[in-house]
Amino acid sequence: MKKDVILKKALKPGRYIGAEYGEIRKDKEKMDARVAFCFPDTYEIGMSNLGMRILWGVLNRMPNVWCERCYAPADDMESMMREENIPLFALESQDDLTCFDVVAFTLQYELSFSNVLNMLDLAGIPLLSEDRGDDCPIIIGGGPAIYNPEPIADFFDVFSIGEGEEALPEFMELYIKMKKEGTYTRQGFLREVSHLEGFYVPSLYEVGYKADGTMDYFRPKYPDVPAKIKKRIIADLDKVYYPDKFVIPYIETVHDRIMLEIFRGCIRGCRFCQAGMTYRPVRHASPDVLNCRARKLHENTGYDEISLTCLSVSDYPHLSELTDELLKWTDDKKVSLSLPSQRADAFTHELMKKISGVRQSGITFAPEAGTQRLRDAINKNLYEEDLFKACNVAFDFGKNKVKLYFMSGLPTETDEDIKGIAELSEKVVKEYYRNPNRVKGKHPEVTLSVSCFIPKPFTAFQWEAQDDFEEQERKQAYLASVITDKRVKYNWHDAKVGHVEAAFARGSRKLCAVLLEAHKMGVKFDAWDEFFSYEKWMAAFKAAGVDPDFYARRRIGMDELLPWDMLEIGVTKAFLKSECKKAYESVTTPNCKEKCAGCGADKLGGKCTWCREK
Amino acid sequence: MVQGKIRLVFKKEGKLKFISHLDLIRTMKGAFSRAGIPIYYSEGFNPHPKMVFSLPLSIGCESVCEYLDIKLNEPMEREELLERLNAQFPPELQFTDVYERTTDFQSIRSAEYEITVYEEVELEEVKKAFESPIIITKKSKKGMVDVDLIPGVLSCFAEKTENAVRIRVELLAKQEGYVNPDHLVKGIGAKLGRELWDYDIMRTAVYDDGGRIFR
Repeated sequence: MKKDVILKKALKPGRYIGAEYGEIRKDKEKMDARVAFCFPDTYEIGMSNLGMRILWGVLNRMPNVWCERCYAPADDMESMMREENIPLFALESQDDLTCFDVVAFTLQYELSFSNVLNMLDLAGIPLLSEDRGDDCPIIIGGGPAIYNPEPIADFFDVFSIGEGEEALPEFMELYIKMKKEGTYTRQGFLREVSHLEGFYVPSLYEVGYKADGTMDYFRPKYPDVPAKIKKRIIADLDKVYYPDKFVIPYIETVHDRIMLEIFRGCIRGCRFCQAGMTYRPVRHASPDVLNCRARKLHENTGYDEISLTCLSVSDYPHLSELTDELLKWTDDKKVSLSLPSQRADAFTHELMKKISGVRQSGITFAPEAGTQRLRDAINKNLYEEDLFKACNVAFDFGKNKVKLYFMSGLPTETDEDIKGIAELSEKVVKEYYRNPNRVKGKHPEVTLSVSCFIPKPFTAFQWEAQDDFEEQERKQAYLASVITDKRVKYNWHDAKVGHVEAAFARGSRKLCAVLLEAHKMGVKFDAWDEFFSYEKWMAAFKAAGVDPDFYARRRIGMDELLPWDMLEIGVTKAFLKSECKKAYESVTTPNCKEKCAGCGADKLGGKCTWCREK
Repeated sequence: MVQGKIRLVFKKEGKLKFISHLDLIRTMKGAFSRAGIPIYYSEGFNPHPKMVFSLPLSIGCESVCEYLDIKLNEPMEREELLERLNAQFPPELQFTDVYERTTDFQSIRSAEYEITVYEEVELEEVKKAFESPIIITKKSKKGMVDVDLIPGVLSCFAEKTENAVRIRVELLAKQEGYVNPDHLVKGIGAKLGRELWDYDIMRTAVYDDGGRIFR
C-alpha cells in the first residue's frame, strides 16, 4: 500500500512498475534461482542498453531461473523510498532485492559506480563483500567498465569478465548445483566460481603496495585460484542467443528502436580507445542471420527504426548486402535504418540514400584530432580529404549541420594540433559554400565537441597522464581564440568530470575507500550534470587519503605492475607497448583488414574473419 | 464479425494504473501495429492510426470500463481481434468487449467510481464533507479559479469496511462540468484539514444521457 502511495507522487511512475509487453513472469515458488539484473542508472537509460537485454534474455531462457530487472530510482523516488523505508525492488515481482539469489550489475561507465553503492544501500544489502553473510545475495558485476575492476573490487563478490552469454548460465548452474547438494556457502561457492573461466573473485587475491604507492604484488591467496583471469568471448555470433523480442516500455526511453548488433570488436585500433581493444577479436554475424533477426524483431516490437549496432558500422564487410536485404522490406513497412558510428572515410552517397528515412538535419563524425600528425599518432587513420568528401555527401543531400568530435590532451598534442581543430572546422565551412548542390539560402553549422582525453586501461595510452586543469583551460582558451568563423560553434566537456573518471579508470583497490566516502557524502548519478559534485569527490579523496592525481595525472612507468594486469583480454601488453612507442613516432598501424598487427586477440579463438585470413 | 467503426472496451488495473494517458496512447499504437489489426490510418505526410479514447484517467486510477474507438479497414472476427490485442498486454490491461458502435462519446453523461480511503478518516466526517461545497482550485484560461465539485456529484454512498472507508459516487462526465474523482478526494481531504494520499479509485461504470450503461 505504501508503495502505491509513493508511486502516485513519483515523477514518471511507469519507470517502476514493469508489466510491459515482452516482460517475463515466472512462478517464483518453482524457481531454483532468482536474479535481479540491475542497471545503475534510470529506467530510460537502462532500458536502452542492448547488453542487459541480451543477458536478461539468456538467463530467462533457463527454465529454472527467473531474471528480473531493476534500475536506479530517480532522486524524487529515492527520497520517498528512504522516508517510507521501502527497500529497492525489482520491477517484475516488485520483490525486495534481498529476496534474490543473485544481484547482477552491468557497469557501462565509471561514473555509474556511485550508483551501485547507492542501490545496494537502498536495497539494505551490506556494501562490502566481506560483510555479507550466507543468506545475502551474491553480488556480481560485468560490462565494459570493469576491465579495471579494482576501484570497485571491495563491493562485489565476483566479476564476470568479457562476454556473458555463455558464462552467466555456467555461473547459475554452479550456484543451483551447490544449493541443491546442500554444499552452498558463500565462501565455498565463490571459491568454486574462481575456477570457472572468466570469473574474478577479488576477495581471493591479495595486493601489496610499494612505499611510492605503486603496486608491489598481486597474487591469489590459494594455490587453486588462477593468477590470471581470461576474458570470455562468444565464438560464433550467428549461433549465439539474440533476443527475438524486446520488452517495450510504456514511457519514452533514450532509444525506442530495434538494436541489431552486426559485429563485435573493431579493426581500427585507435590508440586511445578501450572498446577497440577489449571487444577484440572482431567477429561478424552473417547478413542473412541479421536480416532474419531484424524481421522477427520488427514483427515483435512494431518499432519503426532499426539501428545497426557496433563500434564502426562501415567496417562491417557485408554492409551493402545487409542494407540491401533490409531495404527490401523496411521501406514497405515504413521502417527506417540508422547507422550510428560512421567513419568519415567510408561515408558514401549509397549509404546516405539508405539512411535517408531517418529525419536528421545533420551528420556527425569523429576526427578526434586536428592535424594529420596527431591523427597518425593516435592511429585514427583518417585524412582531411576523407572528412571533406563525407561532409560533401551530406551537403549533397541537403544537410547543413556537421558535428565533429575531438579530443584534447592526447599524448604528443601541441598547440599546433589545437589550432588544427579550428582550421579543420573552418575548412568544412568552406567546403559547404564550394558545394554546388548545397541547399541555397541555408548556412552551414559546424559544431565542435571537444572532450578531454582520459587514459584507459588496455589501450596504447594506458600509461599516459591526463592534462591538469590549468593546461586544459589554457588549451581551451587558445582554441577559442583561433576560431574566427562564427558558423563554427564549440563546446568543451567538463574537465572535472574527466578528472574523477580518469582516477577511477586506472585506480587500484585503494579507490574503494574513496568510493565509500563519496557514497557517505551522498554522491550519485555522476554522469548527470545536475548531480555531479566535484567538491564532494575531492573531499572523498581527501577523507580516504588518496591522491586522485596519482592515478589520473601521473605518467605510469612502462614496467609498473598495473591494477588490471591480472586480466587477459587477448590483446597483449607487449602489443600495447609497441603501439605506444609508435604513437610517439607518429607511425600508424594498419587495420585488421589490411594486415594483422599481431595484437594477440586471435589467441582467444572465435569465428574471426580477419584473424583467420592472416 | 465486426467491421467499420468499432468500439473496444478495456480494463486498466493494478500496476497499470501508473501509466499516464499519453503513454497509454503511445503504447496502444504499438500494440495495434504488432497485433496486425487493420486499423484506419490518418492521411497526410506522417500517418498515424486514428484512435479516440473516452474519459482519460488520472495517474493512479483504475478502471474496468475504458472505451476506445477505432475504424477497421477490413472486417475481423470478434474473438480473433480480442485475442490478438490481449496478447499485447499484461493481465492488468485486457480488452473485454468489442462491437460496432452506434453512439459517440458526446452521449456520455456520468461515470461511477469506487473510492477506497485507507487513511484514518471517520465515516461520519466523510459523509458530512458531501453536505456542503467541496472546493478545489483549478487552472483555467482566466488563471486559478475555485470550483465547487458538489453540483457534479450526482449520487454518493459511503460505508465503513474493515480497514477503510469506501465511497461510491456517480460523477458528471460531460465536457462541461466533468468531475475528476482524484480532485474530489483531494477536495475532501482539504475539508478534513489534511492531504489524502492512501486511497484507490476504480471507475466501475460509465452512463449515457438516458442513465443506461454507455455502449
